[in-house]
Amino acid sequence: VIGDLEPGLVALGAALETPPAPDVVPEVIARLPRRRSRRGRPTRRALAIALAALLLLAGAAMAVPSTRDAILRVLGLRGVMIERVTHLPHVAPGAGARLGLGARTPLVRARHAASFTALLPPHASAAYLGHDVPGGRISLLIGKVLIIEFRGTMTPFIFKFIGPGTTSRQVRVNGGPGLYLSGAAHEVAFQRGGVVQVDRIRLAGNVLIWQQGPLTLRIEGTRTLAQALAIARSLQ
Amino acid sequence: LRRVSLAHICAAREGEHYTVVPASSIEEAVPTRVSQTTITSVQRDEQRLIAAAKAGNHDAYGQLLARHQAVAFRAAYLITGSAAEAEEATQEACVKAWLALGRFRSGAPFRPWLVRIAINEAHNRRRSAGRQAGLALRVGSQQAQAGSAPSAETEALAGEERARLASAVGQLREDDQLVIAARYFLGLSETESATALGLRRGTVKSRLARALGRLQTQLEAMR
Repeated sequence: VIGDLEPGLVALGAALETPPAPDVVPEVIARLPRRRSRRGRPTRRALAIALAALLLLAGAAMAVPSTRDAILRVLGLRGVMIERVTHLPHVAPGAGARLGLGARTPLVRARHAASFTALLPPHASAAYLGHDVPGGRISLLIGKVLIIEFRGTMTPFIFKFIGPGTTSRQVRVNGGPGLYLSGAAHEVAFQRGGVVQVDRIRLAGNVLIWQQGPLTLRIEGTRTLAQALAIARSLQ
Repeated sequence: LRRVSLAHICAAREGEHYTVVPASSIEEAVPTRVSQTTITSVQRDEQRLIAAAKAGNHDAYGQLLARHQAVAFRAAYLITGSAAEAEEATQEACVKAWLALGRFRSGAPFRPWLVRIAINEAHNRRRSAGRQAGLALRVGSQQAQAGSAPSAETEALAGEERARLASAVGQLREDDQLVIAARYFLGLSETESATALGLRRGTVKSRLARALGRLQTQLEAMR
């Protein structure tokens, strides 16, 4: 059977329509971190170190009050930097209204409006396209729930500061690693032009952040983790 | 005699030797024991690049990618059916491969390993997009073989045959499609296919035999 079919399959392989392969090397090289871990497994190791630091510093913060302000507990998802601090910085009243989501875009065009294929919920009420992150950022509203998607990069784009009243829980979302921040409100700042935009800092409620393929996604404004996960699962 | 691609030669294993004969004299690359220089130097060069990349050299990694990104893209395209998504999957796979280079076994071929990561990325994207399983098998217009001048009728018949074969492959389950694609559409060796699909070599062999059997049955049912 193999002998009979093999030439035909080889010819079929040669005749299959495949777009010309793009040269991804420059973009890949630009995305590589400058230094890699010598012992390999940098991602897992970095995560393990971050988690260990999280636990260690949590204890230290409780034990040594004078150093609390100086202690940060850091846990990073791609494109997201989360810092635990003992005191949240001041947020001006009404700052949350300046969401800076970008320009409103028709829902039918939201999927391909950015440089990536956005995942959409079945019933979004509005979509926005921002250009303050490489590749663009898609924001979707479902009532008061906000979904933000962007291409995950090694450079943090979202900075979150969480205080002692906020709990973070590691979760798996659609097969990717994620974090659920809940409890007390925490603060969110976005990066623009390589700097953190303090004027766009705002308070956020419960937030689910996760990586899915090349994307980093966050859902904000749900009451429970289950509700956030249900929305995450509905994204297509 | 067996025609093999240049990519195949570049990824040849120790003990496999080829002589590249000019197309003007014979259109086959003939497996032989004569010319060892080219293969071993290519392998040595690739291992040198891998070692440099492992040490953090971006340029060396770029050279490695330049050699193998096309096959990774082709694999991703077959799965996603979208040029844009295949490009994203390839790019992501290349970044992930860099991050995982510390686990890459010295002396192993880089190409199937990269293809495996690209396949996983492409699967994730297709799953995220909620699309059905199955490879993108679109047959283009036939290209005449070098040195031959088939008649229009012959071309048309060959085109029909390929379309029928593509349709039959498309009706197989995806495991079967993948093993066929690895061997015949991506030009991977049995060992490379095993790495690319995350299977044992023996499993690739048996799965391919079963897949071809089912393909034969499918073709007969279509007659």
